[in-house]
Amino acid sequence: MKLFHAPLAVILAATGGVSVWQVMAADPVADPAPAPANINPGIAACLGCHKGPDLGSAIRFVKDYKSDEFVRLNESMIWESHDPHSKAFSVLKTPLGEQMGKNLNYKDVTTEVACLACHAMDIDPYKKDKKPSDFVAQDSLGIGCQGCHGLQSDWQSKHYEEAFRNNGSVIPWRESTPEEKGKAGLKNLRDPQVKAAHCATCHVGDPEMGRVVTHAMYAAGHPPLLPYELSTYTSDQPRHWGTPFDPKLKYFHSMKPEKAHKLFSFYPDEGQAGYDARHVAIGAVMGLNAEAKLLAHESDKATPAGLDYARFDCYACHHDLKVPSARQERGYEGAPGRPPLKAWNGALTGVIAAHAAQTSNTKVAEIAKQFPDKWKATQQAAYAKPLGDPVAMKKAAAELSAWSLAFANALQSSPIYTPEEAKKLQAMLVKAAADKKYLADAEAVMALVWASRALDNQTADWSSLAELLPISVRTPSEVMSKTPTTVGDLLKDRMRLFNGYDAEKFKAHFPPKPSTKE
Amino acid sequence: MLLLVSSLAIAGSATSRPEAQPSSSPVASCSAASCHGGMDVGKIGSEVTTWRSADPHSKAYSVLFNPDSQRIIANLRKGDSNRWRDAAHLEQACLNCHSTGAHSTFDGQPIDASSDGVGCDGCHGPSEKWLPKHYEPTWKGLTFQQKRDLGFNDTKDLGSRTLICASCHVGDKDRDVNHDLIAAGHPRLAFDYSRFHYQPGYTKHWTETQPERDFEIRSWFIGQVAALRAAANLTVERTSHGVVPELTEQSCFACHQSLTTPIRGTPGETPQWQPWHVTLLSTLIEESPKLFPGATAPKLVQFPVKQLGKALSNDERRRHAEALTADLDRWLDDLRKADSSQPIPADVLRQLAANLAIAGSKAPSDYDCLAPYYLALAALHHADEKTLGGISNSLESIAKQLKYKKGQTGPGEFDAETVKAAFAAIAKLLASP
Repeated sequence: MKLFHAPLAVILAATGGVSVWQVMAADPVADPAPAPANINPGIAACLGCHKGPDLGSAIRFVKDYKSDEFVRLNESMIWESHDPHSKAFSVLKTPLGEQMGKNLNYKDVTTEVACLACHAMDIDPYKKDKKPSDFVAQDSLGIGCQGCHGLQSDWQSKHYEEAFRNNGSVIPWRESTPEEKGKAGLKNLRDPQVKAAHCATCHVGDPEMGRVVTHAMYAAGHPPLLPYELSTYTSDQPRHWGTPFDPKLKYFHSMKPEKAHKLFSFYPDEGQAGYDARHVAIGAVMGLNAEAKLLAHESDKATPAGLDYARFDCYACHHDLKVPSARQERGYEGAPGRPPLKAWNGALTGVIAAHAAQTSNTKVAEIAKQFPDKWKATQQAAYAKPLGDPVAMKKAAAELSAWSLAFANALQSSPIYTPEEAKKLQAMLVKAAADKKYLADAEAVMALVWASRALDNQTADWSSLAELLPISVRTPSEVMSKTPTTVGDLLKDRMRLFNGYDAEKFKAHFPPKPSTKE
Repeated sequence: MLLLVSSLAIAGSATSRPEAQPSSSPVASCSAASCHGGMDVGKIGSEVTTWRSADPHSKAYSVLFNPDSQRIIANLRKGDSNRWRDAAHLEQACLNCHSTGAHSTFDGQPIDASSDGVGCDGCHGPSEKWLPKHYEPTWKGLTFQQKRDLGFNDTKDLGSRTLICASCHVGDKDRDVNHDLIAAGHPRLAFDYSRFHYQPGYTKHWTETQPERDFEIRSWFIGQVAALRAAANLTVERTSHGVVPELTEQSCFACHQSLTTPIRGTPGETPQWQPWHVTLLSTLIEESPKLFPGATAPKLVQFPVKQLGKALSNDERRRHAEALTADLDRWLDDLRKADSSQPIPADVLRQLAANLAIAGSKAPSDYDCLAPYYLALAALHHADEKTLGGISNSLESIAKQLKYKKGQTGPGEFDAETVKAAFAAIAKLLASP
């Protein structure tokens, strides 16, 4: 798959059509560059400039090239202090990691490829039959800068080269196209589709990269993967990068619309709200795309007992049985007793598609209107037999995957999230979170709350819900804490809160009232 | 949607009896005042009256009209416009267990005696041929097989009795309370013979022919084997009539628990096929010849049990389930032929209870693996409180953990370690003379 895209990307880049490239590329994740022969992992070099705009080498670049109007320049400092990705590898050595190793009969979790695929930096993600030596696994680094931005050393040296094109007023790299930067090994994470797809390879999964959390792993102790709501994930890292609407990043402020889209895939006229809506929407749809690919892949591997449990809604099974049953009262998309697909996938994408279907952009609306049928077909394949009908699932999942990619492409290339439409999307998300269709599904409600909150722009008091269900991936105290809390303890707290979800209580407090704070 | 709903194999629409089978008589036919319909509840000659007043089987049909049954049908048939949404009493899948009298004959005429619920013939066998014979003097001289050939299910024989219980309470061809049905609202089937027949609210309409204590112990044992046999046979039936994979064949609460840390249960330890019926098997095998001299369990009976826990093709599954059913039939035969006339010595009983307690203390931390141990010890304790006195406190603490809380249809957050520690305490108590 990778090799197919390398020549394609080159051809299309030569024709100058960035949007064409995005529409025709089947997989925005596939790195157009070949597997880096010269990799350079590590944060030390990055810290040289990215510790702060008034520190180290950054000072010169600020003075000569106003680099602080293009990037924040304190990215590495923020990441190093707060970002949990740095611990991705070292968590394998915690009691929970050891427990998992024991339960799964692994000799050593730290050299187990199935774990390293997500918990360490993968030098060549699409390589088959990887060995531990195919990963960069360092305690202090975890999924370091290069894990997302690119392991290749080329861009790391080129991106501050002052004589690259002898431009003068700015670092030439700044004006390069994403394709040129991609050839040097930099992933275009400014593109919401690329970013969403990349994060999803670990946070949802990617079978071709060997990034699959199986039910056996969950049973052994792996924390349940959370609903993939990109904005909440990134804001909880916390976000170490700037957005075009940061007051300091003046480079973007007067950007002409065509230039902005060509270079950085955002629409200045959409404003901050639209920018955020775009990230929520494309995030969810690419998350669904990742799940669909997993479903198709697992259909191939299915035993007579059906697909792996991990492909279904965790909490459709994992709940204490009560009478009266909220689930029976809610009803089922298929028949009772059959594990369904993850409710949050259908809920989040459903609202986004429903919103897009009512916009005036016919291209987007037409694709959006197909979602209910695509979802229904996949859901029916799940319901046809307990744990899915592999034949029907393979077909339906492939269609869902193709649809989600087409929809994300259409969203990407269409400025539909005007301030009014962004507000409408937020309102629809809020409405869905309290809809009886989803109220019995704590995880779907949580995903919708997260998305609603991400688009709220801090006007409401969301902390009033904090005792009812997790309103974010990480709690603020956890993000800011200097003393590390173990994954085991964090998980315990989160599951206790999540399991305590009560639909009636939630409904009484939702939506949260406007914030009284200044 | 319609296609989905009708593809649910709750149970076939076929009737539960092949054509050649003799027909049943309605309860009315047994209830002449001079036969079994006398007015002295609890006495011989008043069996029907006793049954009507105190046996839940008499209400098996009428429960199909209550709100719970209507809710089940509504959940199952939602969207299916061809069916009445609240007519559980018209659903063959329900009637196959909840009523045995649909095709009865009275006075030579066909009669629908569905409203009998599980009537006399439901347990005693379709009476067309044996009814005229069973009040003749020659009846008592007939052999077990001769009676059987007449369609009579000799409930004095514990194997026959518990197998007929299990045919509904575990399942059989066309009697399949599977996961689809349970998800729609049907209670889970957690059959334990002793738990059913010795519960306080149940009044037997018969007297046992053997001394109570030994009978209770032996009936507990045979009940376990019969239930396992019914489960094995049900798996066979499911390979041609059932939903595959059938989720009820695994531990209910391994899935149906809210995810706390640590999760309840240990991955890889819980048997993957019918843990409820399989968990006691090792102890039963060991104790078989002590309670039933000469009756040893088939040597390899554990093998098909283990195979059935794997992800098998339909054919492989059928093969192993058939082998297991045949093994268990052989065992039940041996148990029948064994000499059950001797009283069970007190030390044998103590050892049996101790072995059960030890095994329970080491069982996987899963509800379906632990609860049967409690029920076993409770049954034995009920049979002989004198010999097993002193374990009741521990039993009570175990019961507290295992009992469903109000509003729940599962144990919720039960503490497996407390339960296992209590079993260990029982074992210790029984080890000291």
